[in-house]
Amino acid sequence: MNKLYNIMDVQADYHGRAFASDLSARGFWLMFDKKFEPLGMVLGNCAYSVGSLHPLILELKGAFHGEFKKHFGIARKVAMARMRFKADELGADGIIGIHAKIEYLHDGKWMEVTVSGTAVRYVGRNSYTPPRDMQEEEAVVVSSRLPAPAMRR
Amino acid sequence: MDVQSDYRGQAFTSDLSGQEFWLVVDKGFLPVGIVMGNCIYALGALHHVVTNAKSTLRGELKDYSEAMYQARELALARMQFEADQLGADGVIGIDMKMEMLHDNEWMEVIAIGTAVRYVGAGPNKPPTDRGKVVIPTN
Repeated sequence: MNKLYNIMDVQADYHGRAFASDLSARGFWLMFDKKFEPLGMVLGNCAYSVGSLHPLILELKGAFHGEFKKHFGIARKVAMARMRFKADELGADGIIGIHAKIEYLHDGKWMEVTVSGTAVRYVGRNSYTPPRDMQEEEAVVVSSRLPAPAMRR
Repeated sequence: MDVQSDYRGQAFTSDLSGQEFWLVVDKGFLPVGIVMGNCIYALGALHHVVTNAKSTLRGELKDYSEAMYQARELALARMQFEADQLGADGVIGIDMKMEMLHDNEWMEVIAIGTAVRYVGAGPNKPPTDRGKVVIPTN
């Protein structure tokens, strides 16, 4: 990891040592109890427009009883696929706690689907160990920043 | 009133409830502090016009998807950076909020979570053999 000092130098693809997860503490406890470790929060999104012709057709169709089969098409699937791709990049075994949020913009003609979840990996019988490569450096940080003895590792 | 925004004392901060705190400590983690990252992102006036024109056709608005994704990832990355600065092993309970500003042309993403550090293997592991916790399963 390159040394960065200013938070505004952080780029979107920054990947440090800390994992991120949107699990609540309960979910966190339960996940650890089953010997999984979190790798990071993964996101996928897709903004999709129905177009201006399509609503007119739907308007006509809406006069009849039935289902709108292909309204927003594949937006959800694309968002999910992007999230899975990110999880695969992290080398995850799975994604848990997936939330999907759908927002309608621009008079309901655009839709944005956002899915987020926590990528996890099975650690098996070994208990969780924090990443090793940074441990020495981190020990310095800990001793200089946290003077309380009860907090020291 | 002399306290600056980068003030950091001995006490940790966390948005965990008492029950959640117990659960985190039970697995050998201690909270280090609340970490936050944000990002205000503008699609740009010109891009907006182009996207508007594109949206008359059915299909994905790639620029829009990209911008929103970047904004979120940037907020997350800044939050993780803050956690790394604290020497944390992870961030849990991340809450992401997105708001549209300025007539839906700007967006702001805020990510807030509690940074935690693993202390399970160390000699200072807090006692956790007492007390019970009830987890609602519904």
